[in-house]
Amino acid sequence: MSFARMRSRLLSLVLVVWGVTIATFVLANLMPGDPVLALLGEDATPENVAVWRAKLGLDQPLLVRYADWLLNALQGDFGASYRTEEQVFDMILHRLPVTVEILLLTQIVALAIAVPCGIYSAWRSGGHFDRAAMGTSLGLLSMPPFLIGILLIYLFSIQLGLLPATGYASLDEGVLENLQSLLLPVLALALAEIPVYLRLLREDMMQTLQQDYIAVARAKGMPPRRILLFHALRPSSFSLITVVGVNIGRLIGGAIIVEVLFALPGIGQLLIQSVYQQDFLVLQGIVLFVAVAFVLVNAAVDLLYTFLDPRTSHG
Amino acid sequence: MAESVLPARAPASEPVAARRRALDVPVCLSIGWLALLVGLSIVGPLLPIPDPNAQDLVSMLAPPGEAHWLGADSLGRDVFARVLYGARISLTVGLGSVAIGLLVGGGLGMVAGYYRGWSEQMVMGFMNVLLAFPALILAITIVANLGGSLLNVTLAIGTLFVPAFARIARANTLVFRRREFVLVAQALGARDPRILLREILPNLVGPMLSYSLVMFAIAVLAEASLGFLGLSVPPPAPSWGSIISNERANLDTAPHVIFVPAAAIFLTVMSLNLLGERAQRAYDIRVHGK
Repeated sequence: MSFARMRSRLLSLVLVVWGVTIATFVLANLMPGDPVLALLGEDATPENVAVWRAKLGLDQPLLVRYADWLLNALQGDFGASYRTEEQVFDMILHRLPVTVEILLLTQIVALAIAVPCGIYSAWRSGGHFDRAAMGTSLGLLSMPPFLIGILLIYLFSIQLGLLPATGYASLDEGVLENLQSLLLPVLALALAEIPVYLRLLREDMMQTLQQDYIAVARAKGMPPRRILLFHALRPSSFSLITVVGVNIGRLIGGAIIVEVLFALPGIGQLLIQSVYQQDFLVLQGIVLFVAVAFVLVNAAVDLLYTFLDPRTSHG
Repeated sequence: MAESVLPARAPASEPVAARRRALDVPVCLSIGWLALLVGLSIVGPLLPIPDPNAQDLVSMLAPPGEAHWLGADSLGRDVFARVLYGARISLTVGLGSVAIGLLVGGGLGMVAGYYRGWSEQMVMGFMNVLLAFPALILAITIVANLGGSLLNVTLAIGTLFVPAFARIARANTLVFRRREFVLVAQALGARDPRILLREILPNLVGPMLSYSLVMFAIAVLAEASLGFLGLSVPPPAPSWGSIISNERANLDTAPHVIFVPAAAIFLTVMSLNLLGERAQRAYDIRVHGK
């Protein structure tokens, strides 16, 4: 990638992140309802309300508050929770590992199932396996993760009694316990992602398999396994890689729900709690953190993509 | 504004026309289910069923039977009635949010694609900012700030749809603005609004509407997810998602209370996805065939 393109991409990245901070601030501050009243209760005395307004900086004009908030946020200071006075950034960092672990495990499980199934579906497209996989995919695409999660709980916890329905064991309590407590949530999320990946890879793979060099490889008598894994997979996997990156946004949404459903102490649960408790500084901090992280991950995937597929850097 | 032309055509008519020759069982079943759902939603209040919010403490968690066709929930409320009224909420949110996406996103996309220049940069920059938020987080934040109501949930999900529709509208407008019939219209002295509405817009209807079906499915999923988080219409209104989250504790003793709305979500979204995919494929074939 040329320097000029790198620079223009970096500039647009900075602009988008800046836009994100404005959107987050506007969203969290144009709400009807007064955070101070939400904090103190409707029957708070006017003096008390005034004191708290000043303390939280809510008596300042909107632009000043935005500038203050942005400058502080740039230094990693997202303010403190109205309720617990805990630092928002610390709260996020404390919860982050759980969510990141869920996201990573989900991607691994989803790819581990979707890639082999997608390859085989494309190789024998129209066959029994392919039709079954396509039908299952359509079905799974029609269920939100919380529904898949509830069905998994019904099957594995209630009917079979194999796994606990909710609860979280941290890594300190043992790797096995930790993985066991994350098994159902990760499965619920992965089952929602598998159809997306599978269909994408199958589609691209089917196109690749029609190329001449694949016909040549087959004519040479190369075993199918070798053709598929070493000749067809790499050129078929570019859109999959892009989507695996872009999909993180969808996954974060799913993770919020799954954390609530399975009572996992991640960022999603914190977000929902802050909504219920009208703790808008926490909400604002989480939304900003997640959105910026999401933008950066997308930019990184974009960059990775140009390295994997040299053609894009010339085009 | 003549963008209102867009949602006037029934979205479901597209795939029927495209596949009329061979009777397609999945498509027929999907249309049948959606028609049933829409029909029941419209005539729901006239049906001889219990009030969805009427509590009947004698039949708490009752299994399906004569008094309650599909059983009763933990407060003795009729499951069939609640799921049916939930359908009204889902369909309203779906229609409303897709309409917002079509009108706002489609309009912005057309303007960006037709005029290019700074308006395109502004619009697409704004879309990139919206896309920077994970969808559900944006929806949660909007609903949390505006408060949960049918209108606000529709607005929140509609906002999510704006960038997607804007991208499609822009991409298609970029193609059509250089086509001969547009150049001719320009040469004849037609004004921009006329070119946008009479020359370009008709060509966007196909791709936009076939995309709308898939977006409708996403809207139903999103509403259910918000309802599950307690952020859709406030109780006791029966959103499919909130029924499931409220009755979760009774999954072992009365699974039917959860499985009925779950099946409703599943069938509705699957029907919409199936029709949407067929519509998109039919549209693609038409384009490439020419």
